Amino acid sequence: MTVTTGGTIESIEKFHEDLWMLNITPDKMRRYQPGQFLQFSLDEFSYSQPWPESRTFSIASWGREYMRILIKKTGRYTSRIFEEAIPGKRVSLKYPYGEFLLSENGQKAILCTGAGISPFLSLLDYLSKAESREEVFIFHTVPYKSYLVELGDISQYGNVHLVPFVTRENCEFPRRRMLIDDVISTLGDNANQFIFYLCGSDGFLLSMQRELRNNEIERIKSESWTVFKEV
Amino acid sequence: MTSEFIGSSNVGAFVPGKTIIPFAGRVFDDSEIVNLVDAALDTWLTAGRYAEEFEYEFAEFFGLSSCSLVNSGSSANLLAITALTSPKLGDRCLKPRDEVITVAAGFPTTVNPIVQNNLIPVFVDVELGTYNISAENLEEAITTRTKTIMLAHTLGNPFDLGKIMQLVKKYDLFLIEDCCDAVGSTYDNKMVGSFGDLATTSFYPAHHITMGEGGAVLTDNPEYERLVRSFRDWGRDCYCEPGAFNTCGRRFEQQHGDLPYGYDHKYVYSHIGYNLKLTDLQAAVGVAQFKKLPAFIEKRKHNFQRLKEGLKKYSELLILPEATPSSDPSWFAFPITVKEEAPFTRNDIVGYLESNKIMTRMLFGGNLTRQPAYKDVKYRIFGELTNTDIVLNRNFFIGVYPGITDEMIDYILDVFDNFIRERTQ
Repeated sequence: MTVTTGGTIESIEKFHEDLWMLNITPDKMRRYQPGQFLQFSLDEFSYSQPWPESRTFSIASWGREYMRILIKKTGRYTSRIFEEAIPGKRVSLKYPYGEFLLSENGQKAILCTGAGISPFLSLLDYLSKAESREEVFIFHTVPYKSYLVELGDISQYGNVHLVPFVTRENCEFPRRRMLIDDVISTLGDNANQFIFYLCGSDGFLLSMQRELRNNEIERIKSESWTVFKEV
Repeated sequence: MTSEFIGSSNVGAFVPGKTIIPFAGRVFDDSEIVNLVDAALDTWLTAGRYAEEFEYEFAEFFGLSSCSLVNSGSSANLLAITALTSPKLGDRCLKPRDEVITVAAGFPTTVNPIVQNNLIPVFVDVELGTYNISAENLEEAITTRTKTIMLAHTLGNPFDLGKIMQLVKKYDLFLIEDCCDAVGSTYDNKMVGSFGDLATTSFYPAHHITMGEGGAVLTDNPEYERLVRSFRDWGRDCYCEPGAFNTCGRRFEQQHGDLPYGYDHKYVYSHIGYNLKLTDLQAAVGVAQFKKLPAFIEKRKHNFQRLKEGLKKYSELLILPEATPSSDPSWFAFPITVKEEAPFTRNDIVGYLESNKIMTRMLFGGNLTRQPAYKDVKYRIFGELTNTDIVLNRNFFIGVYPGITDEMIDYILDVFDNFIRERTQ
């Protein structure tokens, strides 16, 4: 059950030349669950006309007065967003969609690449608002350190551990992609007690699911209709 | 302009003995027609802004996250149980010959979807007075094949949700609440419809609010919402609203079964579905009606109380309705059972009321197992349906809908008084 609404871009956080966070105030704020996504359009909509061109983005916040979406410039439409998005611009939204829900109780291990951190930012807000002490590990592979959008806020989340990997520049984090051994060695003997959430490219999802199953880990969830339940 | 037109269409005054008192009906003012014209002038016609607004408000009313509008309460029931047959639910999904506990003293389209999905209805008797499932020995009706309980809150009176929820949790059953006659009823101060996995409502003119034709499936589970909408919308995998595309962001980038890679997601079908959608015109009427719902509920309760007070002196002849303990019904109607020892039959009193312009109705199918349609249907009966047969033979109901005024109630009670005086002299 979704709502169609206009919204206003309040501010833009520019983490990298091709990675921005838009903070948007929707005209109609509705409940949604961490992990859900929205449709975003640069054009205003009319109820009498078909919905304008839009793109799908995870909602990267929860429980705030505004909504955040993390946008990576990858193609024609996201390039247009980077050209036209400015504070004060009116946009159109439809939300919420999706069953990639993150509010289930239990220890969580998050494996993501690049902007795939996006749905999990809403989880961090959710845990913070719930004052949860639930243990969460985030394994995040990014090309540049500036892509670690969660880095600045991580200390405020009680029991959340960030394990970053940066592939294209030298910094304090390992300069490579995450490997399954990183995950298993960090989580220890009770790795299979965690619920694993994956978000990233199809190649990443397929290879990680295979590697996790090879390590006898079965509770894996990723953003896909055919595998929206535990795989 | 529309308001002016409606204002000039006057309804005549009530004339006792001449004006028919319906058992139910729509209660409109100009706002329904204003919305209807507004929606028509959009020329969008299929579900749009009014449907979106209604779904949100109606779900909030129940304290739930999801409402999916459909074209009738019967379709809502069909979708509610059919959604649970989806293979996407894995081992939990309902399979042919699984059993569904229900009652025969009710409306056929609470039960028909069970049959239509090759499931086995298990009929349990009802209690007189509440006209709901007899929960006392209900646990004995549960077998290893029992997977679901699907029940209506009869005529607005909640069934024993305390006992039912205990069994649902103990045996890990699905629960579908048919709330078609019970919008606004509460149990333990919580809206009926918010206890089970799915709930259904109807917006046919007889019901608490109307769209002409219409219904809804409510749930708090996004997985069930998706399944309901898939079955509603041709069985498709896509969940774009009308006029939208690529909501999933992967319209041409997925592998679905044996289809070619990237086959348009708009034309991928996960289920054998239907088209049970409704129009924005209907939803527009519903938006106006919804604003009146609290007042309608109170008027129904008021009318029920007046009838109860006025008829309680005949409790030796008539079984009057009783609210289920812990509940506050938003009554659909006022059911009455003629006692066996009464010096008249149900048909006698119904005939008298009807001849005096008071509409009556049977409790729907009475005993569905005795209906011609069920002659060759596979079902099981737990115990005996003794009370169900009493409902079939001796029960009827009269209306409490908001269009019934205090003057009409006075008249109804006078007619009852006259009838019983004549029959007991």
